[in-house]
Amino acid sequence: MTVIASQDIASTFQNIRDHALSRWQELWDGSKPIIMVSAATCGRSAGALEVLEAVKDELSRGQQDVQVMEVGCMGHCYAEPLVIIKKPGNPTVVYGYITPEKARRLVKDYIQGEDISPEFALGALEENELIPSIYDLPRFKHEKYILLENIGRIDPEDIDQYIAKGGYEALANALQMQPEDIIEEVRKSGLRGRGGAGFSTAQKWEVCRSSPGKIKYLICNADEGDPGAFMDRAILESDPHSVIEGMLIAAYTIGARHGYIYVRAEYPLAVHRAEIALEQAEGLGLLGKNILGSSFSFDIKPFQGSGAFVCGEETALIASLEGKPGLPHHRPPFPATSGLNGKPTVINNVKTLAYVPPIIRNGADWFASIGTEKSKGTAVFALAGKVVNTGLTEVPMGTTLRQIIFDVGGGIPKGRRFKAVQIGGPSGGCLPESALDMPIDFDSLKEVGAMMGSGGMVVLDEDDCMVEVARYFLEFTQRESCGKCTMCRLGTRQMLSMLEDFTCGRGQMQDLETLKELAEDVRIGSLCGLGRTSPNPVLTTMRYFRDEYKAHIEEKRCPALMCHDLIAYYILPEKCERSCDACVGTCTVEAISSNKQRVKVIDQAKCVKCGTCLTACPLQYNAVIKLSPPDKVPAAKG
Amino acid sequence: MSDRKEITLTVNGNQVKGKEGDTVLQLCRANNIYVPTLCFMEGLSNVGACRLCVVEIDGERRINPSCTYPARDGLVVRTHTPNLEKYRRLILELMFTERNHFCFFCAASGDCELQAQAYRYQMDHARYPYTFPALPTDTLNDFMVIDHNRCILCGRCVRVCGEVVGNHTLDFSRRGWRTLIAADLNQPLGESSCISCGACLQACPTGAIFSKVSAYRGRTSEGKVIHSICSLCGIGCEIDVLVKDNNIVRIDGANLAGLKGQLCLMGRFQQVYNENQRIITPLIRNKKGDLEPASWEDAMKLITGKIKDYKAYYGASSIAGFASSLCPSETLEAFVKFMRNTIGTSFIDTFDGSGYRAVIQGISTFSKNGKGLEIESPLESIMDADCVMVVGSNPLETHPVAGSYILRAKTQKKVNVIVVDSRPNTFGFRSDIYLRPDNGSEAALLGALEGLVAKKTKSTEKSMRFISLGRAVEKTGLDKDAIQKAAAMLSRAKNPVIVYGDGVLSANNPKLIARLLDLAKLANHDGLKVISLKPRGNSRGAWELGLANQDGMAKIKPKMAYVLFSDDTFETGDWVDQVGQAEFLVAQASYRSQLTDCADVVLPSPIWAERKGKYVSLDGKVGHSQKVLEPSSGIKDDVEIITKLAKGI
Ligand SMILES: Cc1cc2nc3c(=O)[nH]c(=O)nc-3n(C[C@H](O)[C@H](O)[C@H](O)COP(=O)(O)O)c2cc1C
Ligand code: SF4
Ligand code: SF4
Ligand code: SF4
Repeated sequence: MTVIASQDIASTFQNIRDHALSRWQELWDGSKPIIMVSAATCGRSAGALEVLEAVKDELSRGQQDVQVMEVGCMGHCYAEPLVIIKKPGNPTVVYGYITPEKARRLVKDYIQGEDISPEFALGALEENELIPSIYDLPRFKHEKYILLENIGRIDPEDIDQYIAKGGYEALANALQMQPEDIIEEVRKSGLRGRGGAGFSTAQKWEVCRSSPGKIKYLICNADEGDPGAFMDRAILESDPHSVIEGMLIAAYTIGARHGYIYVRAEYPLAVHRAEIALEQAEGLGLLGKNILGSSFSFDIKPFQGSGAFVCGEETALIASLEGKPGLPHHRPPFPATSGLNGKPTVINNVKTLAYVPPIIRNGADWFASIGTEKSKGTAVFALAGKVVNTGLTEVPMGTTLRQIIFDVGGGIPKGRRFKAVQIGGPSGGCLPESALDMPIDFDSLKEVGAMMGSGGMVVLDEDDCMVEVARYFLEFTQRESCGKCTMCRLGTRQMLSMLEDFTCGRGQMQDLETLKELAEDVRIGSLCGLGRTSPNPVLTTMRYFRDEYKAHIEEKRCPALMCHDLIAYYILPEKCERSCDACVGTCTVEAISSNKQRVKVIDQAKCVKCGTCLTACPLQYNAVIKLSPPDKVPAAKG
Repeated sequence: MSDRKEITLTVNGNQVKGKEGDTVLQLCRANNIYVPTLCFMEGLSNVGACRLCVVEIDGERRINPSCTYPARDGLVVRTHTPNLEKYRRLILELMFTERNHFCFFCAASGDCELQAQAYRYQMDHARYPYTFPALPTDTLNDFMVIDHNRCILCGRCVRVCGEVVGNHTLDFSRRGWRTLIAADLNQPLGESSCISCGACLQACPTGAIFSKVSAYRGRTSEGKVIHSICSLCGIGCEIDVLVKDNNIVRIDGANLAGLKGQLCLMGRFQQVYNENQRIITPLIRNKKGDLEPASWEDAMKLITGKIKDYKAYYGASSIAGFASSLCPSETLEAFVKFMRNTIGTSFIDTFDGSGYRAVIQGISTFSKNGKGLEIESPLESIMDADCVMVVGSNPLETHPVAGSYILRAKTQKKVNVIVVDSRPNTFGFRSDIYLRPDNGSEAALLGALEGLVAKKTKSTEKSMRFISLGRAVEKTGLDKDAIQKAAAMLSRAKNPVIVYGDGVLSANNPKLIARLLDLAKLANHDGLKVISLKPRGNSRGAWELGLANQDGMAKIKPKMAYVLFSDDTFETGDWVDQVGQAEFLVAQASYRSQLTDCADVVLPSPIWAERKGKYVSLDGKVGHSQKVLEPSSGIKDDVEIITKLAKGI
């Protein structure tokens, strides 16, 4: 493709941008206050839509002209629902934990009145005298937003806001470049795929571009089947154009005419927002035929996946797109040479594609300056589990786990001790405290037996049993194994049954060796990534928490007091307040009775270990405890 | 494929050669390096599912299945390291724990690939607990049982049913270890779209699909496998017959994934077991009018006597001979000689002779230059066609393997299929366009199609007389659109093939066949592609021997009839009535039938398995059927009988 229409492309885009900028200025620098409600799926489940209703309702009672905007996820899931208010003359403030009542008060006190309501504020978005800046929070010392830059700041259903923030400039630039030069730029940036394996994006594009054939496809992988991961969803819901722009540049580079966004069926809002975004992009001539007046044409269709985890695997995804059962297919050939309908196909993750526009806009060197030697840029994690600030975070590659968990995540709640962190979901690994100071990137994680995976990060504390954690994750992969290849279908099943045995106290020491051998074989010999990575949680917990396995097997003891079969509930006689009957009534199986001294005693034969007595026992007595192994319960006297 | 580049690899330290495009497994096999497999099967797509064929390859982080790994020049491969062998044994162990593989009760024991691998790896026990649930067994098919408890989910049945048979009945249902093989939408096999061809059964490496007619009757190692051809229909599939104690245990397709090797239910099952009543001694009608066992001498004497009598009283042309084209050419030749030379009658025919006469007249109307059956195309041309039109035939019923070719072309190459039949025809539901003209109006439909195709392809053909669309609509009762669509489909195609069958052959309408040929000529860019599905294994051979040349056969009223049935039991056609009215009827037959029951003398005939001979397939290829069984005592060869009779006259 020759660069015939270079000036035309630039001037066509300039018109589009001018229009967007003027609209944005009108909105942002105008005299109207703006109320933004963070209403992506996460916000909605926390009640964002109710908050939005309350805001609108409260406003309707007043006379004021206020701009209300639905924006995407800001990543601070722990503090959802979030509301941002920009009132002319005042700093822009982020409010957290907003309920409909609080929302009404904000409208009344701050919009209609002058009270900035610092008690609800998380922080201001700019330095000011009134409210501490949100960037003073310890997390912002470590965070660096590239993908999350626009998220929660713009209305995902308004393309002009994206353009006003610099959007589609990269596309306009790219269309004036030779595809080879784009590949070179991406190569220089060091971008690696964020779908899990960290494969070089430039190399993938190069292979596809140089594969023979006129028809090529581009697929954006937004299947995100990993439980606990939701960054792809957040990006599609909150900043869909960044993905579309990335796809356009990728398609132009590899020579694709048609593209698909493969979205999980459980992501209706993401599909909806993507559809709106596609429509708007097409409306502006940024998508479809002769984009920005160039000879490049490209269209994108959203496709709703079938919901199986394995459909995120690229060959299964292609099969599913072709209308076949979503089963993985052996590689080679790789999709880049023979993919959808047998044509060269690039599959990239949502995040990978969303990095492309900023790389083209700011240059490869800028991107390459962030991160570690071999992993450039940032990493997005979904923090979950035993951590104070759950939600999304974006940090440069090379940030340590300690910084992420303790500074960004605010540490472990309730003063409990950190025990481990599971990175990368069911395909990832479980890392112990000793790994906390390791700078994390694709390679360092792999070295210690985990992987970046989808970026799920589950923090575990002393109440979590590592054997049970391994069993839990393996149960997931085992259930999701498609069954095509023997090693994964049968290996995961036997591994799971061994882990089940351990958590029930039926294991034997030699099983540990058998388990390890089997796990290794499943890892090296399965057909697709699902099987190959499924042993990771098992192998890492066995490596770092062997003592816990030993306790389960040799002593039938669960050190974390978590495994149902290995614990017993016991009422400490010296702590029981005799006259209190709180536990007795709550026990559904009537296992608790009073002895002669009116001390409550649990009949172990009847007890089903539901744990209600433990919660029922008033905090000041704290008489109910868990014991492991169960035979530690002293024999009942009289 | 001869232009593929030669490549050299190092396998287990030795240099081995192969061709670019080979998989590592192919290359190993070609060089006599054994790599164990289970899900692999020659001719099917490679899936790499069982993981038994894994090999180590330098530069690869993991072990890779050799069946899917493309061989490259310079690749360094190891196939039998201790680690790999350990790994393979582990897979076998896991497989044995997955479902019920207690070989003791299994129909496949001794012929099972899983069992053989377990022996090979000396798998005397499994270190993992058995996890098998009790799974259902599907017994509703007439010939086959699916026992899910034996299934290792290799998918060979699924692939063979789709890729070779083209029927796509079988697939996987559910997922993970809960996966089951399922027919259609989880129907029992006997109630599904299955055509009972048994290809899946033959493909199954274990006892998960087994044959009701062969189970527990003997292992391959206990008998002898004889390679032969199936002589039932004109396709001439190659078969491997397992014989034990002079009994047929099993018939396999000799080349499952190739052409003419997949078999149909008749060839695979009905030849092993059927309920026909065998005739084992000569029979003579006694005074009371009953058929009664007799000696060969008496029976032969009676026949030669009658022949002489009828010849003397009414002349040789009062005697007519009919022979089944299930007989090999040698027998038919002897029969022709006997009738023509010994008796001196020209009234001889085969059971399917009227079809031949229609075909030949049709061809001569069409080409007018004395051409015959040689203008027809080989069966394989279906596989290269870009459109197949099936006229008056349900190939899945009469010639299932030909039906498979069409289905394969349709599902794998997206070839369009048009079915034309005035009779109800379930094959129509598998086609893209199904036209059902009113009875007898097929020629009108073809004439209209010719006109439309000629117009679309701007043909300059002058000699043909087309039929207007309006007139065709009137005559056929078909929708105008449907006819136009079919014409458009034919015109779009460059290389369409027309296949016709019993509906056309029995219509006794040479004009229809001439029309068919005209249309085929108009539509095909480089000639004429027509195949007629001739009913019996040696129909073409019989026709070529001149057995069906006699015109006016339909009008004769023989006083004496000699019918050589051999093992044919198919009794329809005008000749049956003619024969029924003869004063004296001789039947030479393997099985009792209505006609043998009214014969005056019956001579026992061997069945296909007890004779050998030459067969000419429907597309003119010569094959040889082997004698796989020693004839039952008292059974004489057909040629021997005829020669003896000739001597007696
Ligand atoms: C079981 C399994 C599930 C996967 N799920 C996803 C997914 O949800 N999203 C994704 O982007 N990649 C997923 N992948 C990785 C893809 O196969 C593929 O590597 C990726 O989409 C490539 O994109 P990238 O080069 O941008 O990383 C999965 C892989 C496996 C084995
Ligand atoms: S590794 Fe598991 S999910 Fe992947 S193909 Fe094999 S059975 Fe299916
Ligand atoms: S018998 Fe033939 S048609 Fe039936 S399921 Fe098996 S392969 Fe398919
Ligand atoms: S039935 Fe037989 S061929 Fe089919 S998957 Fe099971 S073991 Fe394989």
